[in-house]
Amino acid sequence: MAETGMENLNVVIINDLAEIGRLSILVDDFVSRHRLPTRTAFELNLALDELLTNVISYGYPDEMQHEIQIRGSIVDDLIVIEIEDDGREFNPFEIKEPDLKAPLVERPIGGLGIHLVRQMIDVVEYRRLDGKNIVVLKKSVPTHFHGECDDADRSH
Amino acid sequence: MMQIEVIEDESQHVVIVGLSGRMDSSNSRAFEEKMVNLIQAGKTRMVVDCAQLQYISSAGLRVFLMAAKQLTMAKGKLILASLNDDVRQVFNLTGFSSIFQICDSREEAIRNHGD
Repeated sequence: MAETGMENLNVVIINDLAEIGRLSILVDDFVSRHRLPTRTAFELNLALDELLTNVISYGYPDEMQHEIQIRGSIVDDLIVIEIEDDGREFNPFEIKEPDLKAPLVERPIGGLGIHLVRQMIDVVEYRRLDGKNIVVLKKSVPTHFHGECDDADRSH
Repeated sequence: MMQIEVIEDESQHVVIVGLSGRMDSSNSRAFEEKMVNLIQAGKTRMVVDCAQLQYISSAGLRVFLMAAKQLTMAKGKLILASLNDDVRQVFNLTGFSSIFQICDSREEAIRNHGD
């Protein structure tokens, strides 16, 4: 299927946690334009939320306003989302996996975000390029929905 | 956007906290403050009703964990009710389903406080 600009996700947010809610609406819209299930939107939003919360909360050594770019596209049966920020160098996927079987009293508070990203996304990549952190998330389109886009406009 | 509603069921001596909307890092602090205030006010038999909660991230899970730890120390109990499939999945994937008592309805959660 040909990729067109209309179907891509292209969002710039600033380093304010309130922006994550605004982004989620645009991700929902991106997913529904591709006629993918709402579960997929939930999973993409959760992964983006966890990564962006880290960047916004801990990524910047100053109090300045920064921009973070989020780009998404779907090529064949693969959803690819890219996050680019100019915060301090940080590879989120080097964080140690939490112990998910620990009893309540031994559970550390926090540390679960990146674990959730790995559960929501099939392939995660990180690179540092030109002073920017670039995270790439790849997720297969749910099999059941593969090819549905070709039936566009049938129900409208 | 998240809303928090607190109802005291005086006949059962249970406080019900109803959540609706999205709980993420931008608003989990409001939930945390509400829970801390309730626990400090001696409300240690609690139900959090998630029937209208559409979304939760680890920032929200963190508050549940903190509240459960504080309630355990205060000899109280936290029971969750009515998680939707997406929220339930987050609890399952993080092992939180095994550290919290989760009921299918608010009524069942209140009944379980009576045991």
